Amino acid sequence: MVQLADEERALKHKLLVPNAYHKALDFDFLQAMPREELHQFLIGVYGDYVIPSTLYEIQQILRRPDLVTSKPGAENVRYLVSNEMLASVWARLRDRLSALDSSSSMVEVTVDYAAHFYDMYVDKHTGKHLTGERVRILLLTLPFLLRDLIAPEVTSHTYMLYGILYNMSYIICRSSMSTIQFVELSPALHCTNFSLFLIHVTV
Amino acid sequence: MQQRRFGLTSEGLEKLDAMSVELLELLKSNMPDKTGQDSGWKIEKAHSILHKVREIIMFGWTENFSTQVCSMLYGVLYNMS
Repeated sequence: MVQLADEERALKHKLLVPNAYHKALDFDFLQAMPREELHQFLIGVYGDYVIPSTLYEIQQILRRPDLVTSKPGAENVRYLVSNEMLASVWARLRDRLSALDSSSSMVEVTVDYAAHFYDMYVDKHTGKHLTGERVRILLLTLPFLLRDLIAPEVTSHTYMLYGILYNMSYIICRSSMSTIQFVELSPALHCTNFSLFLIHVTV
Repeated sequence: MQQRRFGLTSEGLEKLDAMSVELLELLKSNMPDKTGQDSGWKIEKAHSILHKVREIIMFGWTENFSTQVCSMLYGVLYNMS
């Protein structure tokens, strides 16, 4: 403390700003516990855990173990949803966030804020943080921004599989229905909208 | 907003307690993997939601809890521990 006082005297300003609440009458330490809504709910639970878990769930949906184009047991797994496609999902979320304005959503989000969100949650920069009020913006808007976020990727599975299995489907259509049931058992074909694909094939 | 409505009754506290349990169950059921870890939601921050009603009864309204500007009061707590 002596060194600190000397430094403060040399710099002619306070390094450790005193908190006036320390001098309050009947000041209660328990009242100062980190249990307030900002640090407990907004930053503590929602910002630190709920948002990363949400993004993780989206990634897990797109990177399901059966949605791969490489052979089973391959050393380098090639996912049906490539890294570029996955990056475009997060870029889409960032663009949706930056497109918010006060007339449509009652909050105004700048491009810098959206880029900050991207750096913090997608790139996982450890030095990036959000204040409670800024997390509150995400709390209000993310449920609407996440809706149909991965619709293009889910739809594209149908077309991609359609291209991959076009020749096979041509044969299947001219076979019995039992063959289709056999194909349906293949784990590689159990992807999103595959039932829709089968309808296209069998019609 | 809801938390700015002062004068919470005992029925309101019971409802709040049930809502906190429901929130945690909702998180566990919809997002079982906490950012890819196996620990689920067995963390202090998530668990402490369940004790929020007790804290309101013991220490008062949530807006009375404050660590003030720049979280300066955390220093006091660190020094106490």
